[in-house]
Amino acid sequence: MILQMKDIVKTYGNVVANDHVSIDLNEGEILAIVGENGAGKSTIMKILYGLEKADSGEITVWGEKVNFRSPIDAMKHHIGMVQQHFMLFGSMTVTENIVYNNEIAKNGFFDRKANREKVRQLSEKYGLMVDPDAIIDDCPVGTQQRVEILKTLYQDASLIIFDEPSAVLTPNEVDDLLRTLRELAKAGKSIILITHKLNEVMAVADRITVMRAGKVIKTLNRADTNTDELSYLMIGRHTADLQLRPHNPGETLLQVKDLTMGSAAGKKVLNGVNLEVRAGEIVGIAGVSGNGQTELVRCITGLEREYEGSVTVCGHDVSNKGVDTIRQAGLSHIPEDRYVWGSAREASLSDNFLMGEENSEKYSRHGVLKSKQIIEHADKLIAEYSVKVDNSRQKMKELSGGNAQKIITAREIEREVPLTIACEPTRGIDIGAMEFVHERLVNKRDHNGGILLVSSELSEILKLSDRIYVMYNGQLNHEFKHGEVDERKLGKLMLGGKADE
Amino acid sequence: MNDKIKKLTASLKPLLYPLIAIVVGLFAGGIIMAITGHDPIKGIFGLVKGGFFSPYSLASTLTRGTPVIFAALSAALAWGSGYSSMGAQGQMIIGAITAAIVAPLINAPGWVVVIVTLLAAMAAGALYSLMSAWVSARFDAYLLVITLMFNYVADYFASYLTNYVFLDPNALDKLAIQTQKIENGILPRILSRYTTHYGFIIALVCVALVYFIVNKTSFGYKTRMTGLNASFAQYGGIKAKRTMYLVLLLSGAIAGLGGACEVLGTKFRYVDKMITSPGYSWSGITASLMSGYNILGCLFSAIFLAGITVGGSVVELSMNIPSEITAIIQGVITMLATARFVINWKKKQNGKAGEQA
Amino acid sequence: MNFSWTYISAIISSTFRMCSPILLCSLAAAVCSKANVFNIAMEGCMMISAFFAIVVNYFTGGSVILSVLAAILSSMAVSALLAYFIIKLKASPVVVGMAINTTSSGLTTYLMYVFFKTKGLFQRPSLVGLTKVTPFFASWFPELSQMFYGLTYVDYLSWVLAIAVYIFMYKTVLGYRIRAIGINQEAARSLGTPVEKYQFITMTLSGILCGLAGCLLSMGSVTLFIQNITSGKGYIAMTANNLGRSHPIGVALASLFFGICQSVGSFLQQTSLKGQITGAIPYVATILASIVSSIRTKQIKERKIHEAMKKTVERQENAS
Repeated sequence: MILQMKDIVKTYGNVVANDHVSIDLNEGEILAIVGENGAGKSTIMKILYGLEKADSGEITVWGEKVNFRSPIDAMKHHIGMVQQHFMLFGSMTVTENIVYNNEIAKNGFFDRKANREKVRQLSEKYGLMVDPDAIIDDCPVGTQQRVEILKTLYQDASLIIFDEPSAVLTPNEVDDLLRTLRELAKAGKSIILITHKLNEVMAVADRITVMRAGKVIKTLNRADTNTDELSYLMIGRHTADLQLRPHNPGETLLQVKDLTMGSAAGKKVLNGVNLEVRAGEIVGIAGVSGNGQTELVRCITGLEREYEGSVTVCGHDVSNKGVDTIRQAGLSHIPEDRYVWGSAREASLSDNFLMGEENSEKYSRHGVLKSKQIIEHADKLIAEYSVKVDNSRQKMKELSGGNAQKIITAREIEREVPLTIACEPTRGIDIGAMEFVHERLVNKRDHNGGILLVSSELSEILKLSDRIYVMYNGQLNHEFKHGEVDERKLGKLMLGGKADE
Repeated sequence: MNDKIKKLTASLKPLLYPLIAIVVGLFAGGIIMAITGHDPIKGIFGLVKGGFFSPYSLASTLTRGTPVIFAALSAALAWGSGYSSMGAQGQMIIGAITAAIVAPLINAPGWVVVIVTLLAAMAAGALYSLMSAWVSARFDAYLLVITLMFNYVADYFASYLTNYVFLDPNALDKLAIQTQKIENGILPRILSRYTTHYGFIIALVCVALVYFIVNKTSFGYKTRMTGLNASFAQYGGIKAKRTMYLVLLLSGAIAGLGGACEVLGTKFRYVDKMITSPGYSWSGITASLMSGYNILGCLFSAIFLAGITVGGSVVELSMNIPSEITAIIQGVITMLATARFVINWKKKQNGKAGEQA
Repeated sequence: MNFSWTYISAIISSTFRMCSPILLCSLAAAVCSKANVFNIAMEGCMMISAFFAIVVNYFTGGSVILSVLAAILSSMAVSALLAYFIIKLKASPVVVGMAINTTSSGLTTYLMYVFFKTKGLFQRPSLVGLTKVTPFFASWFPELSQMFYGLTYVDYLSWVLAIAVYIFMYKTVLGYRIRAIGINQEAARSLGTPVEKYQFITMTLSGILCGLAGCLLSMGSVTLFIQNITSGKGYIAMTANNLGRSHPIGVALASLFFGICQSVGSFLQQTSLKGQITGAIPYVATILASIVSSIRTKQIKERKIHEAMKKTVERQENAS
């Protein structure tokens, strides 16, 4: 046994991210850690890699009790990690990225030739083909990931952690990745694979640890289990199905036609997207992140104006129009990142609530704000959504992530407009609040509102959506009605698989 | 009752950082005085006393503070909306020279002359600000550098006009480079014994106006949100470019007005370098930074800085301490003004860590 | 006006003299921006070092070596202070940089009064300027020697330093690590680089360059100290850094451009043009240069996108 993590506890404020988690790993083994988003699997790996410190518990690596304070310590103990967000120097070459911090130098000068040769040897040894002189920015994502793997190998890692490695890859690249994982294991490397994709787990893992709500539920051998059992263990209870009233769609609120958008790299990020949201329905978009959902929402909401095709909101043609025009046409928008787009941390809560309505007659007259109404509205929403704050004069930055999300979600759902684009509306908020947000979304639908729901939580999509689109590679490929599809089938389609497989 | 105390302490909280900065700044000034062989306690006391402790010195402080208040308002508007404009100086110069040229041209009752002149100066300042804003926005150039360059150009331009076009040949002092004296349409003194003129009242009105605009109007809301998080503003449908141009227009107009008040209230003419050498603009920017772009804070900070400047000239005469001690204190205060970000930053880090859950 | 060879070579030599302080400062800015720290305090560093060069010069009875050393050390001290505020205290680089720039003006005037009992200009016969050198080959042709008239060894050094900075940044391991920080600070940190330490050192060392620039101002073509001796050269250097995209060679060319503008400006002063107009030339040139640079950046960007598109199309065609 090369790694033993025992009774690891980690809390963030009131949230217990890891509750007495124990994990062990044998040499040359692939261990998969599976669980839903927020199950605590990333946290436990961050602790192992020295990115976070455990509150209590013991870690033993190669028989030595360790206490990592930073990734450097982990690296010294031959632990490497391929993170979900690559840590690469974009305008430098593959070689320069791999050898960083352990360069071959001649009198302090960077020895280009020797370094390149070393990288070439390494890449041949493990069958990870890269061009040592290519610039990272010009490489496809799959290659970039290979560079990340080579980096850990160059640092002489024997235990490599992969955090959701397939999230950003195309299906072909995923196949390559799985092959690489097997070969690495054959070469004697021990691997921990964090994922929530069960088909990958079944393809490569030797053992599987299932986590749920911060706890290890069970550890099984792959040979002894199947995806049905795993998904049952992952989700635990089958969530109480929210009773959707019969699906009675009304007039069209959002119509997207042949939306096409290119990126700087010349790739089509959106490729002929057609989509419709009608009054009285929730339309979900399922997809692995990076397949164009972000761009689609940016086009619809006017944050992105350079695209082909048309967007119609509540009967107004708003193609290539700006945010304010589109908002006035009748749209509200829960953005996917609460601090980048969704709020101003240094501003008061009431200021955060006002965004988008500073010109509306309800809150201003002749350009002068109606302070009383603004505060009243803020206080009302704070109470309704049970946000834990003293008053609406507090600043956004004083709130926890979940409470901040509530503020944004409340602001956009309760706006008196027919259409809401909801991106990750429940990210990082506790279960009770999540149910409440779901209720409000359904309530809006029942009152003849239309909702476009983009979420990485498949369970959320399945539970709430009247209709579900699958987004893959810049296109909406499939459409299902509520109850017509399950998580497994969606997962397959999200990765570019065929519906009838 | 308890609630009221809470509210009061909350509203006083923003004053804490500037006060600390002021204390440390004065302390640093004291150290420099001590190193250079002056009595620091007497020196610091002299600075404060010279600026505030007699009706005469207070009046000088308010006179001196008037252009600083305008500059502070101008800076608070721009910086508070996220635009690091250093352009107040150039805009004040343009406003001042415009006033000095326009006022003598108008043949009308004094108050008409004043109003027309002030409006002309505001327009000139606004236009000059818009020019730098346009270069910066259109060509993606760094506004700070562009405005600084515009300042130099404005100074040379005004100097050229004073030297060669509008020079007053009949000036008593043959060496002084200045325009013709304005006789009709000056801003009178509030009390004839003291130098403080009605420009100060105009400054106060501007403070109230800007306070209202920033805190109570939709436009002000837009500028504040743009300053705090430009992406959030964009997401909410605030038009970034339009807001920028409007903010910088307003900021330039106020600076131009400040320059004009200085001409109509104290010098009654444009004297070469009259805006540049006293460093009104930098004092104003310091005042707005140390008050965290809070408009009322700007007013008090500006008067404080003007006070120690006046005090600086007093201690130079009485104690032989160079008056530049004020500039040093002001610099230390500015450096510390951003030290508040330290605390915020630490909080942010904690917040981020907590969010990973 | 007489466009004789003498006149032209005088302009050339003056261009070199005007160029070197800007070159040194823009190299400092370039190194800092490569390490992802925003340095706008070159103006202040330069002023402080110009001042202390003169102070030491005066009190040591004209020791040039000690004066240069004083300039470098004082500039490094200011840079270190700036770095401490920006990197350690996470203060706004713009605000702290501007504070240093304006404070140094007040501080030098204050100290000038303390040391020399004067405020505007300080000049004494006992002050010794930097040694002026004419390169050996220039003596072969008298015309050439005019071109190198009045250049000090620091002027030559500035060009050597431009090349040295290039080699350091692009050929050495240390330079490569610093550049990596600039490209992706988080990645560098994740690989165990003490990012803040590297940034602090980079910034402090950039003080050397500003220090040399400072002694050129107060001990170069003239040996004196005057209030606000830098007159915005630090800001012009910032623009030169942008124009040259923080690459030492590009920065050198941009500095040369500003050198030409300043030199032409000062030569036009001898003509009928008014001093106020010629004085504004460097600043107007800076504004225009920013505009031109932005248009060029856009063109490059468009060309890159175009090439990428072409590549993709080709790849797709090959595939099908």
